[in-house]
Amino acid sequence: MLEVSNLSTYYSNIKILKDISFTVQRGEVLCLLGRNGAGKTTTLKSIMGLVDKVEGNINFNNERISKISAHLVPKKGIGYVPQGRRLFSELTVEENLEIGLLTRKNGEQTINKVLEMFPRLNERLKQVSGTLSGGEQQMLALARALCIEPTLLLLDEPTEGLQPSMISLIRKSVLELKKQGVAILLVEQRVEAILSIADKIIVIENGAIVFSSTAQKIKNNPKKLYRFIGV
Amino acid sequence: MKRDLFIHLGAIALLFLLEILGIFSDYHQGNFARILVLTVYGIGYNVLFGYTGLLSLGHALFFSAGLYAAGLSIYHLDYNVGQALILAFCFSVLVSLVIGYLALRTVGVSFMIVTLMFSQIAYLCILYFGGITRGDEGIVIQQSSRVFLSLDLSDPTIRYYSALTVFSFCLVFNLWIARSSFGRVLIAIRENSDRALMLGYNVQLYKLLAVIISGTISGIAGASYGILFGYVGASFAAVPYSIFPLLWVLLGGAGTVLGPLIGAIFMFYLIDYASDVTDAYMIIVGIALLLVTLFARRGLLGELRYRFFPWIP
Repeated sequence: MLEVSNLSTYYSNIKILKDISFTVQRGEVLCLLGRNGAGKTTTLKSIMGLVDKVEGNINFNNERISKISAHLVPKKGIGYVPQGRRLFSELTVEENLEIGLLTRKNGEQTINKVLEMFPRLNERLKQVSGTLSGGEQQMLALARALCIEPTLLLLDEPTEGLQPSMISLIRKSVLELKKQGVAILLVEQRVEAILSIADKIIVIENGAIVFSSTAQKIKNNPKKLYRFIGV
Repeated sequence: MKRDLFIHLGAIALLFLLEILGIFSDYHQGNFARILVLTVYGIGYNVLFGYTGLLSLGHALFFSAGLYAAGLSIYHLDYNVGQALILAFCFSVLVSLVIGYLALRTVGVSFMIVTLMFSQIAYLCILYFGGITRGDEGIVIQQSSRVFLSLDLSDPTIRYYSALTVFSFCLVFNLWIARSSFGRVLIAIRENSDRALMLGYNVQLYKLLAVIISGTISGIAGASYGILFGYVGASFAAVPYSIFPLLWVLLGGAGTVLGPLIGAIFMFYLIDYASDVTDAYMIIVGIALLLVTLFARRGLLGELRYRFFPWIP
């Protein structure tokens, strides 16, 4: 499904990502771990076409997407929930969802399907999104990304700053999407947040992959991973 | 009927009623005809600034594009009002397309400066080609040329209704934009253009469309002004005429459909009454603007929307 090979990304002339390669298959959750500034978000932005200078290949469903305009990437079926939610805070919950829809047909049906997953948003459809709680905003950000009916979802620290009940709700949603066959590329800093949902784990340090493994192996021997992320 | 539609159509109906019932004196009738045409200019500005979040300092270029296209075609080519309006419309679309395409290669402060520069170029061209435009002196369009469908547009009552008709069309069009999915994308771009891009919207194309719509409405306002008031002059292309619509929109409420009307009425009558009191009327105007900025920083209607009526588009 998603195949990233020898990806290098530059900000001006500074090389941020260095020859990164990985794949994510249908229904698989790949987790990118690493410290602040390691290059996790840059990896997601590179896939979304939001970085000016990219070398290497990014293929999605056997189609090269590393050279197409950024606004065309979501139309291929890739949803992105950036760090910090970034809602359209003056628009209502309903309008935020509709904005997510506008490039797709069968809008009402899709919104209803998404709202089934997040019933709390259903109660707040007419509320201005800037007035939602942090957890609800995260739900809305996720719901909006789902409105394009993605087959690959990029999530950048979706549980950051949320209370435990919200974290478990987000985790449940990710598992549900995984069950539906959506491929998920998840960026996290906290190991405990991902061990129960990830299939594969990659650790990035200074823009390069320094460790990769299956989640199962890590569960059996977590010390291996902790050595890299310093927990 | 939905309440937002009711309020906007109600505002139009009220403006018709004020005239039908003879409530306006001749003086206020003339003032309001002018305000309504200038509000159309404000509506055009609001599409770009209030909804899309692009601050232009050169909108006088678009206003004067319509003004001069209509004025010069009547003056030099003996066009009738209908032909002049069509030419002004087409010319405004073309100018907006070209300026938008070039100016949108920049963002933020650069966009402001580039639009200001383009408008200054247009202003200097009007002065330089004085043989055609009559420069500073301007052109007076004769009463005999200001007839449309057998209606004498220089007649104060017909002029008022004509201004109100143009205003009504533009207001309803603006309301349609505000309620449409297109308008929501513009708001999304204003709020966070990167996010809109990530959702699959061609942000650059939407911005260009916003410049074209904004510039064309401003051009229609310019053409209407020249035809209804019979004067086409270089002062309309100067910097103050790029600042006025910004002030009307800020005072009334950026990103509200009725904001430009409220801002234009407020500003017009504030200057009018303050100049009755003292020659240094700009001091009073300045203080009033300062107070509005301090206590209603979202503009008059914008503040009402924020505090009490969040459904106002």
